[in-house]
Amino acid sequence: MYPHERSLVKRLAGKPFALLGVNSDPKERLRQVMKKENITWRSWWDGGDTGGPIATRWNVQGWPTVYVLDHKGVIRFKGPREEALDKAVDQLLAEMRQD
Amino acid sequence: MWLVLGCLGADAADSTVVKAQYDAITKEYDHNTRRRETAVRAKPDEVVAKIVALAEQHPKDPATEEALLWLQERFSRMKGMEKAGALLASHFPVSKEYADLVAAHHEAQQNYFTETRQAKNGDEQIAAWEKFQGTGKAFVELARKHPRHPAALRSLVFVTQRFHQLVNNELVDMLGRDFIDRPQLAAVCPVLAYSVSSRAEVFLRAVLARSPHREVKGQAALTLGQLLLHEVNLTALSSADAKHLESIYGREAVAQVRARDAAHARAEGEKFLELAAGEYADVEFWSGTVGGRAKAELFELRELAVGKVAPEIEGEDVDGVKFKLSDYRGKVVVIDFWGDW
Repeated sequence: MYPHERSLVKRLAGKPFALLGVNSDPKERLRQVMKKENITWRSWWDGGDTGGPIATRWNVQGWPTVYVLDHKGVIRFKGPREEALDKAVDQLLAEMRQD
Repeated sequence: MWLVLGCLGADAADSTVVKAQYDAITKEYDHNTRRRETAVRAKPDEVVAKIVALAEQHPKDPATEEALLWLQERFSRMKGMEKAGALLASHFPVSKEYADLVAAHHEAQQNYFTETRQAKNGDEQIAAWEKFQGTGKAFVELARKHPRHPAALRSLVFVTQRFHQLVNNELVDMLGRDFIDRPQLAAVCPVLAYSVSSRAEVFLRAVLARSPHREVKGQAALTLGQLLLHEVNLTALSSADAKHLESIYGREAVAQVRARDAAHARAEGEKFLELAAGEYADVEFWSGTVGGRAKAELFELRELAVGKVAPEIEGEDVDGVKFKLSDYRGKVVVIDFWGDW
């Protein structure tokens, strides 16, 4: 997943787009993996395990879980991965230009 | 008259007392396991010794059969278990058959881990997986051979906990036909939440209507809600994803579930989640409650649906810097719940 996310973030650099993580690792592990995998996007640190407050409120049962929001903050897609994720984001960016 | 009643009373009480002695050990152990209270949990070898001692005192009591099977499922390869096996063999032969299957399963699992580690490619991994799944079918066979036997119930429950793809219409129907009033169904219901079986809903509705156990009804209500909403999602699957499901559960099972009326299933599912969140809110569910789980599902259904404004997220990054989701309003945002595992 990291390579795909890296390329998505790189491709859309300068566009009105943000990838935000909610991470369930212990802090030290999160620091290590961000460095090792060159993760440039921001993540909320959700308490160090899968029972963290954000994941609990969002009823996350499996990882990774992905939500795609449009520029108005409306949930538009749940769960797309890989090409489906690219397509979803591109569609919402196109809509935004028309607004 | 008084004398006769007194004798009957003493007999009945005796068996109840034996069961209570077993329950004190097994229920506490399971409770602490579920709550992850390993510090206060009894040591396995002590549990084995205590139950074997009780079994030797009361070799023919029905509670002994249950307790020995309980042991077998958890500690089949532990020191001291030979005695438990011998007691089962002499007094409860069908249960011994089941116990042998459990032991064989534990061995097959070890082999599966080894084979997966040593597999040279994906095909070898899949072959190892399929071989291991085959051990599950022996349990279903035992249940077919001995309907209504306590070991049949054990076998079916065992399969539901470990072999999700064997949870099919036949299995669910056997449970519903012969064991609808059993407390063990509390462990079966949650497994059905993501099953692909058109009979699962029928079974869960029957459990909710007819089980004498409130904790089982609570699980059934929650699971009905989850199952119906899961089925709504299945109706919307892409054909590629549906094909993948068919390869696991069979074409007919997938087609039946996908044929249902999504709007109706959604309304019904919501109704059952509300029942679980109200009437059965305090029933234990893993490390939480049925009510907690049902409320979380309802929140997702109502507030985290496509078309809803996402709820605010406020928190800190790894360096303790605060930020919130609404800081990013005006941008297309992907929220990715992730972990490095």
